Amino acid sequence: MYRYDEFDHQFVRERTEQFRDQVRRRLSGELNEDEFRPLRLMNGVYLQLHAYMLRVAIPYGTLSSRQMRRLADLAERYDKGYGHFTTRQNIQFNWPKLDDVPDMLAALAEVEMHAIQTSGNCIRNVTADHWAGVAADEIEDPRPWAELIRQWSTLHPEFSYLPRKFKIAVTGAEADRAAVAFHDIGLRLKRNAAGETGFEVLVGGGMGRTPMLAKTINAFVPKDRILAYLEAVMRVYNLSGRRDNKYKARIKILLHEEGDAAFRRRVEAEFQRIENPTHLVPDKELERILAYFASPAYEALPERDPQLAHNLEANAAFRRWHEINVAAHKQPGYAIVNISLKPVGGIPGDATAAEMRAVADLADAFSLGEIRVSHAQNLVLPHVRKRDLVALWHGLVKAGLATANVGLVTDIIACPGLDYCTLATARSIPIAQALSRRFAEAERQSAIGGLKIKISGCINACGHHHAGHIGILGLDKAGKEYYQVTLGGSEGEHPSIGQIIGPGFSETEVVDAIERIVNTYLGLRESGESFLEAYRRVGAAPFKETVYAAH
Amino acid sequence: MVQAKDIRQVLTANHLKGGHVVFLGEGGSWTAWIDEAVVARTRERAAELESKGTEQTTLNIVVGAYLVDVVEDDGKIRAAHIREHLRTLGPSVRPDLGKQADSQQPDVRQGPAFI
Amino acid sequence: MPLIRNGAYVEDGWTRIEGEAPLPDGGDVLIDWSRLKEDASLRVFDGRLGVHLPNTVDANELAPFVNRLALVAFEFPSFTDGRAFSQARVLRHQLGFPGEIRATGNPKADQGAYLIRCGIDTFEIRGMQPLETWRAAIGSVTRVYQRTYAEGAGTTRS
Repeated sequence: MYRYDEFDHQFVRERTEQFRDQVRRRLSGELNEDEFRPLRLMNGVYLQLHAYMLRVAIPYGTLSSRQMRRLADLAERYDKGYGHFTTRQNIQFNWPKLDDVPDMLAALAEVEMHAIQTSGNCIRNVTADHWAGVAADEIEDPRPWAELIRQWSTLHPEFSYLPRKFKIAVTGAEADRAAVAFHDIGLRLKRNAAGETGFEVLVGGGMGRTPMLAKTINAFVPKDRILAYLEAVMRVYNLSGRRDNKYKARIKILLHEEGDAAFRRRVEAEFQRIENPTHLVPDKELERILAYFASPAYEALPERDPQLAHNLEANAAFRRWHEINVAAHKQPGYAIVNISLKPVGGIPGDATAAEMRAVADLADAFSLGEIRVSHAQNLVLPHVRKRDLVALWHGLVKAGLATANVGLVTDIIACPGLDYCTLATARSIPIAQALSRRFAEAERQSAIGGLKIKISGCINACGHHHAGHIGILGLDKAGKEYYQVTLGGSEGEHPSIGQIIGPGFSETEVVDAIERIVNTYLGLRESGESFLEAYRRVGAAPFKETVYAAH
Repeated sequence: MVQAKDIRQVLTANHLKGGHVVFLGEGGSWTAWIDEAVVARTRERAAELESKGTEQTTLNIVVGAYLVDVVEDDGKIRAAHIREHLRTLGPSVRPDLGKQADSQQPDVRQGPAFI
Repeated sequence: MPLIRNGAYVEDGWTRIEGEAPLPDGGDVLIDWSRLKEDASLRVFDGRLGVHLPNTVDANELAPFVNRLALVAFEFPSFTDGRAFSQARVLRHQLGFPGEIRATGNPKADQGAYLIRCGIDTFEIRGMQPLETWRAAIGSVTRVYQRTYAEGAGTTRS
């Protein structure tokens, strides 16, 4: 993991004190709300429905056990005993008081964390594949680059007052677990014919009210030029992105209006003007960062663990969890363990202080003290010896964290919705809870197989409904919540945007509608065909038929 | 058809320092409870509440004051829209948190006024 | 309007000439961008020239005038409109403009450090403000990550 040096420490301390002074000026009336809002947003502080909300960055989703314990401390001391892991690998605290926030930031700074640029019209927290560095299908670990981009984008003098927020995601794997096509900029590590690695640069993806898939504007940018290339893209956007209408201010609209070719030409011209593009990343600095992401000292272990095989044989619950929540690791004898934060009937992404501490303890015992946060609002222990899996599982069972549903129908993504969020038009969590109860039965979940349901409580799409195999969007119709259903969305290597199937549903109808959709799939699928594959083969018609026939 | 004169509105905001939801009560003080809010039944009264809200915003006591429609059921005031109704309660998915939980504790309602 | 440079109020010696209004015989005059491009009499003007560039114009268009200009004023019409950060950066860093770059509109103290690092050296503000606020805001973060923007405020790593 990256470790702060004295420079980084000094930086976050100063930034915290700067914000402490801004809060003081706000409370004393020196700053009014219009002046203060952009300042607090750039420090992750929102004013939500019931209280302030502090969104803490978890850069590229990597956390140490020590940091997790500190999050638990904050949840207890300044919040109501829990936090919410978000679709952007951040964590949100829902109840802080404004004058407590500087102390919270100071406590975070001690463990090398901050809330910088988790909001506002700036380059947001950089996200990455949550299996980065350990995935079996990886070309190269993207995290050193994500860290470099984090540093480069932090309090960027030129790009902190952009037309709109700006999200960058990085992946180094074949399978895209970072949803790069749905980001303002998606970076994908690729190998060229000469065997060198560089970045495919995708621009202009996004969700929101105008969902778009990012387009590749450069198929291969050498790694040591990536910051210069980003600078060129950002400059074109900062100068020409629309500022007259906030709904048209994202870079996807600029790209759409200018056309891919014209936009690419402008970026390339700007890139050519940047002198010495490689000098933006001195070798010494890059080596310093890379060293932190070197693989840990793994033990030389056999790929198969005989004890594990025995335990799998003997314990059905463990076997089920292993089959669903454990993934292949690049290192023989090791596994990646996904921890579901989606218990049946639970609130997706919420974790109590006790659960955070339990995960921290298990990470220390079994995962070299390291934890990841996924954009699916789950946690990951990235370095578990196969022979430790059963002991880890017992620990998870004890902590109530052994739900075996990662990637299944009850592993639902949901934004906080109208229960917390001031932008929301409808609640999303109760829909997730109801669906999770409806599909709770293990056998049924296994029979349905991989299925991603994603729920957003408003058009801003924080619940990624556009990328859900089944997407649900909560809206307000004459003061009543109602829910629009989309089918066929997907992130990953072959991304697509879900299509609305027809008129929306009330809160009570929507769960039945989803069940009919799932049953329709079960009835028409061919052998081994996933929901998404079946949908792509047959289209929306059979689903519409069964869903609306009952109306 | 609701006549223009038949409005029912209260003024709400968030407390600047604490962030919690408040309503403008009698005597220009803020209260955490919607049933202690002053209900404007005319446009003129609503405008008065609004200007009080502007004043309190300028004085940096509350943030974002605005009027919300309420309905009266059996003499009890309730926010008309679900969003505002949730603001008077707390998250519907966590009945153990927020005003809905605090209001179960008799002491809280007698506690110091939120100003 | 009050002008801040290096954390202190300074005299603004520039005369703003709006539109096509006649130029004085000499001195420091600040003119519109449209005039700079088209007014032939500027060639014989015996004084220093400054230009006010709208934030919709590509700063690269200033390239032919870099040696003729002593001041370029960019506009910051609101706290959230950051186009001129890029314009200033291009002018200072890519075109190598050595003269004064001024932020007009209503730049805020909390943006001061960012503005300086993009190459801006004077801030034209609306009404007097406590200089202490500006000095504190500019000096509050002394470590900066972007090494090529390090001009003036903060130190970079290594």
